[in-house]
Amino acid sequence: MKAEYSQFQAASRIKSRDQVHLTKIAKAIDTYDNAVAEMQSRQYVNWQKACTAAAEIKECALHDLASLLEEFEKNISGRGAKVLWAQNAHEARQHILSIINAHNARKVVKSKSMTTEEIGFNEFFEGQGIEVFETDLGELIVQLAGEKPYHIVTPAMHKSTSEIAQLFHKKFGIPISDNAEELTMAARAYLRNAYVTADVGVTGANFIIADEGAIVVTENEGNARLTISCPKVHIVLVGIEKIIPKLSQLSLFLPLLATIGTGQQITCYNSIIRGPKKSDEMDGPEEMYVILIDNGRSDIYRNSTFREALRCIRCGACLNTCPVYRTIGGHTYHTAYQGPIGSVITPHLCGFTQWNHLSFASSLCASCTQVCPVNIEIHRLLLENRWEAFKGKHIGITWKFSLAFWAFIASRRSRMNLLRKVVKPGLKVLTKLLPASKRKHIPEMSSKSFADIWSAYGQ
Amino acid sequence: MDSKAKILGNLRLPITDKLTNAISEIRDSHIYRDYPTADEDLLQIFKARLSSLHGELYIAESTAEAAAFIARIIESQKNKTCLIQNVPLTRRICNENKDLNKYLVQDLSMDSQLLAKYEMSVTVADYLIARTGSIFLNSISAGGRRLSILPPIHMVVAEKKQIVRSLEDVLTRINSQASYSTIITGPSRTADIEKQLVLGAHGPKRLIVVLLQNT
Repeated sequence: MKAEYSQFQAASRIKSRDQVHLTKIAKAIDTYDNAVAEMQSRQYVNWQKACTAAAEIKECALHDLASLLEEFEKNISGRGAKVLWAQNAHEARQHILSIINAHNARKVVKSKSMTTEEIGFNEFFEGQGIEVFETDLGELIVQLAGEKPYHIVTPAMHKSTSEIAQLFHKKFGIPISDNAEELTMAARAYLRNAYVTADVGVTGANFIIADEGAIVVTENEGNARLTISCPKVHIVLVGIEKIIPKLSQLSLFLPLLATIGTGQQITCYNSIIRGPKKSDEMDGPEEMYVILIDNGRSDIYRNSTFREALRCIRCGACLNTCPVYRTIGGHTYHTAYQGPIGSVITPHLCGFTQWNHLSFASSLCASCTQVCPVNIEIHRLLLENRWEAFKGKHIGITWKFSLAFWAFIASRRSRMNLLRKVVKPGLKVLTKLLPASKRKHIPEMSSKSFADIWSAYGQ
Repeated sequence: MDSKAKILGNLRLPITDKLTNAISEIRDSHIYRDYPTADEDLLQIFKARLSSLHGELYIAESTAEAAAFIARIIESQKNKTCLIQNVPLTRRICNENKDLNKYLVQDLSMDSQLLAKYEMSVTVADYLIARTGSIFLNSISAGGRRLSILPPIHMVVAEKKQIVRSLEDVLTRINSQASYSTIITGPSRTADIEKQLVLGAHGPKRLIVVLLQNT
């Protein structure tokens, strides 16, 4: 068994029985659910229609991906930004490292970005002796705690106020407080100095706008705005799939993302960045670099079955609704992208050999598909992943044998009936002996099969 | 072959796979239930949205009233430090109250550490967006990127004619030469600690819009 799979199983076993953890997550997601439902009905004539419009735009953008990326590059380069291309995480890190070295930078402020998680930014650059400050409050909390983000939108969802109070007491020396405002102000004070003294600001991007030649960063706290305003260098690390054709389409996408991501009408700050400081401007970075990262995305792209996964706008809705995510929690996945969409794309981005088990981390209830604001059929893609794994021989011999056996039995009614007669009495005894029967109430098995009852009913 | 050529090469699809149906233009008026109708007062909608997000609105009947209000807010600060972006609209206001002139500043290229020491800033904006209660500004028109985010109080001076219905009106209208634009909707906020709302996470704790009614 692969190490990743064993780790996943072991962590799932612990987390799914941790009542404190389950209660915290249920409470956070309940708050989220209510806010989203209220905003959807208050703001939209028809939420589903807005989603369909967004899905169509993203689908069209994907079809013209290469030319839109070139259009973006041409437009933003014209204003002095430098566009760099990275085929994988290694190349992205090397691009960033050369920029940092060229500027003799020692201090980096970074606003929340999943692509930087994808390339292991913090570990790598801290290893190079660079001071990295996470500036989003949730990201700062997990960074100080020495953890990874629990959720792609709310990274510190798993931390209670008192846990954060203990952490800040230890790290900042402030008195222990159960007041969220006091804790936030301590983080504010800590990071203020970082913004104004950092050499480089690093961000991701929520959208790349082809016609405007701009990138868009959406946030609530103002940390991204400070990150792209104070330091002399701004580096953007963004996935190639984040492109939309037109600036005007933001009037659909910004409220859509805010509504489904956090239940807000629109987030507090939506920044449109078209390049570095211009000669007639008062401030802003003197240099801006946009690193367009592939890292397995073009493989997903070339496979027409999976291409729709690249529509994802990273809203986190499929994580929140997923019964598996809600039970095992975000850390158990051990991936940059958790939950259903993470389970779809991680095997493609990081390899089926190590990550195929995530394709099975789903009850196929399709709740993820139902909530997706860009209509990705996530549960179907999870099934497609399983099929992909089967074809690619990433499935063990036990599974193969079991599936072949099941195919043999299920393909003929008479074999089904025979199997039932043989297996059922054994199962009846077995369920009583299973350890699970001590924890759970297992209902008595009927002596008649559904088929028996059905045919009797028919007569 | 370099990385760009390799990546783009991987993204070129065979012609048969191209989408043929062109997408229809989607208008804000079709999507949003709360899209302001022709007979609704945009100022009232803007006010309601802004205050629901804990933003503040002061409606001034004249530049003199605006000047008095700004002076009062500066006075209420501990150190009474403020930077007022030096543009025609703010100059007109400051002319009404000579005490304000000392806060007018032309050169905003000062060091961030210095800029961060000011308690408040006053800038102008490009548009006010009624449906979402937002303010749209850019790095040329609003005195750079930092002035509207670094000081703990951000005051925006605007005129009633700058109010538009929805974000779409702004995005289809602008042809910005600035390196940076932002849509600001309320004071800086976070809910990262157990979903509890806290204002002033990293940006301004107070966002005050001073709207000149009769200009």
